[in-house]
Amino acid sequence: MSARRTEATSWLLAALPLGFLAAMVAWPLATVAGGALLHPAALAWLLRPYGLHLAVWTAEQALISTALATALGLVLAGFLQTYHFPGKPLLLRALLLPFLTPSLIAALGLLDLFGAHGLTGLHPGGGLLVILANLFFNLPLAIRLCYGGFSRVPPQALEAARSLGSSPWRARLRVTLPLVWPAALAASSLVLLYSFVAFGTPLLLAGPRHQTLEVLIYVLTLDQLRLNRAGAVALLQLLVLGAVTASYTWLQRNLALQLPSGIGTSRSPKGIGKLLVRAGALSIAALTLGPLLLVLAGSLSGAGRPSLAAYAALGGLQLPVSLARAALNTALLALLSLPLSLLLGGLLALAIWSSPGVLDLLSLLPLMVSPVSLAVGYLLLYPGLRLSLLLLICSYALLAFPLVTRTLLPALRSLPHSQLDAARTLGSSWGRSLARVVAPQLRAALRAAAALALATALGEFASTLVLVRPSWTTLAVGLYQVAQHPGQLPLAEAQAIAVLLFGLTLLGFTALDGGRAEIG
Amino acid sequence: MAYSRAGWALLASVLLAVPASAKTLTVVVPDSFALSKALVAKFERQQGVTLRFLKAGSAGAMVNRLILTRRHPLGDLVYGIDNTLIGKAVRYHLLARYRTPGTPELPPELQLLPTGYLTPINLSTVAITDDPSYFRKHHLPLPTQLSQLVRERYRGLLVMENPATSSTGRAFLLATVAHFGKSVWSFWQRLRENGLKVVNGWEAAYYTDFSKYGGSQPLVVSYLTDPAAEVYFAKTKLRASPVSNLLLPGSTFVQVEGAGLLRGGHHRQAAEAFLRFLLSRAAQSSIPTSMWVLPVVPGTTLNPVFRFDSKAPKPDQASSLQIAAHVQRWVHDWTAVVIEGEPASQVR
Repeated sequence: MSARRTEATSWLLAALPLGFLAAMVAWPLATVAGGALLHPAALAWLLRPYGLHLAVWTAEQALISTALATALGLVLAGFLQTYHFPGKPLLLRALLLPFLTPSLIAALGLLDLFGAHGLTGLHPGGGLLVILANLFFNLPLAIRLCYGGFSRVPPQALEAARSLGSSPWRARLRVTLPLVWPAALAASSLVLLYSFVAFGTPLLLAGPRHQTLEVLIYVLTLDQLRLNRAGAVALLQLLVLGAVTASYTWLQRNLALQLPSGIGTSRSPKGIGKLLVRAGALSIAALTLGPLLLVLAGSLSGAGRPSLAAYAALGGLQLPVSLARAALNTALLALLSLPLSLLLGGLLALAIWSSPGVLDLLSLLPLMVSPVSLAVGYLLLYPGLRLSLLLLICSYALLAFPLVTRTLLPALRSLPHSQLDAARTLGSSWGRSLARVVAPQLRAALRAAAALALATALGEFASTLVLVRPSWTTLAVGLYQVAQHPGQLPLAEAQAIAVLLFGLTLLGFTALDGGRAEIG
Repeated sequence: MAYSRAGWALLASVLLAVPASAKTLTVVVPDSFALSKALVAKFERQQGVTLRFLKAGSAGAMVNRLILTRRHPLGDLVYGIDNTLIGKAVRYHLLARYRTPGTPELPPELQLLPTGYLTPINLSTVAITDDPSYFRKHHLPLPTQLSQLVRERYRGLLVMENPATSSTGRAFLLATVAHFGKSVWSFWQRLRENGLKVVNGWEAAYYTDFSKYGGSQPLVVSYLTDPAAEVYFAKTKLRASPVSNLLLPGSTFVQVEGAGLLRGGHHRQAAEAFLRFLLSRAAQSSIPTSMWVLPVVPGTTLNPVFRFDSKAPKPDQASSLQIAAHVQRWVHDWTAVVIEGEPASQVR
């Protein structure tokens, strides 16, 4: 009886999030894709050389990024797990920063290195830039997920292998790797997902031959007004992302039943080893944080010298609204979306917790669809003015609430069911036991979830760019508008906006999270 | 329903918080738009309204955005729809009918047809602008025919605007269609193969890619007024302009830009007053040096710097009605050949 009851409860809990998904994902997507299905010519266009080329290129850049991020992530995570060095907790935490970075900021960092007047003097093609940007965002994510995998390897297992005569390398290969593998696979499916829908960097840095499908959807819609073709591309993208997401949830579910966490040991080497380890740690920091520092440095220099001119010039920027207004818009929209993200994400996490299964996959649906094609669907479906404001808020919540669910789930899963059962046996209602037993133990996870949701909303760019009405221009959109005309306004000003935006994100994140976020 | 509406009104007023005291007249404009502050202040004083200009991308992108948001328009007026875009704007019912008194009579091929939707405000001639210092430095002769641009020696020297997003690029495309006729797509295919650079809007082309501004293309699809503008903005007094125009046959096109009322826009009276204002003597004589275009009202006094302007024979061009019938097809074909790399033979 109780199994069926739980299942019913879990669907009840999920009703609101599911309704939201239907209105915000299923229907708009059906509208966009439906147009394509009714026009076979649009689908056939995908098979023309250009459509094929971009589809292949999108997959190619995503796969290359994934392979690099996973391989490097494994090695670097193994390094971090094995050695101890001063500042290690700080570095581990700093690895979250790229995840919080609005995508355009990374693009600006790359422009600093490789742009027309870049520091390196090198001008790699747009394709390489797209992959580099993917790595910037995803390598830290891969490191963190793999690091989690490494810390689940019981030292006893390694010791046993060693005492049975394995060499250290052999022990790693035969014992550690199989145990870390699921974490690495989960990391790679997430990286694949994020790289596949890369938008900001390719839009700004890649030419027509190195766009991703996500940028193509944008171009077909807003530049060419060929909505059926845009729908066809969105449909293709949905199929690919659906397959990747399904494999991710499968891996994650199998991974969640692994070993207890947090018993890893690390050692502090002496002598030359110590130097090498510090150099290693520094290069991880440089790889993942370099672009951010470059943007900061760029914003603080003018004509090759340190200067605050870029910040002083921000007042006179030609944006649809003043910069202060854009900052206020950014903050307001993000704050308005936060309660919605928490409510939806929380409900869905509870539902999945009480009965995992298909809901688990559904919770990742928002990550599977392109924000641009959804935004296009909203424009077609819900054209009213007031609605479009609501839509902007909802589309932020849509992107943020899966992260809330993902963050709350591990915390929920680590709760002993027996506590809840005890409360229920003692006569407490469902709601009451949730409030009295579950919620207090979730406080840390809730704060982390809120922090992630806020950061997501603050930096969101893709759907904002489609939906935004000029009077609600956000910092991210303003940044794009300035960066798009780099000849007219120096890059430094775009970088100054980027610093403001990143500062706002970091502020919101730290205020909510208080210093302890994990991504599940 | 009522309470939710009240909630939305509250939320919207927080977010939109436009200066609540004055009426705000919103004009949707392309990125290249500029109007002198004094002129704006004058109109605001006269009418007791606040003017707000919303930049919505290059003209073509602006029209697309207006189409996607037409059920609830972004503003009350639009400025910057030209004779290459009016057909699209009218087909999607973006514009409300209004005939501004004092609209000057233009030659038939330059009228914004169908009439009654857009008030013509200014004229400009799209042409290729060159950076003579580049050609001197590289001992290259300037090309004298469009078809020479596909030669190896001019490889990668031209940057243009995408006709899908930019009215400048659209105008240039129309000029080549009129010039080459049926063979136009093979011209574009060869131009693509010869390293043609395409960007989304005029500003990116001129200020980023044009070699005069540190880019790598010494030829840019731009305007006849560039030589005058460069003299006007130069830090020192110049005797001659640092840029000139290549007046290749089949490369020029006269753009007539207009302004009109957006359907579903508000403040109709003030909006009509703004259209009349744009045709006033004060506005007509100020617009040329803020947007580098020519006034549409005959007899308007021009800043003397316009003597540096290139003069071109008037191109033989189609009317906006004829353009409207074909331009979408041509832009699609251009996209297929130049952006998507289809062979010209694929395009009729």
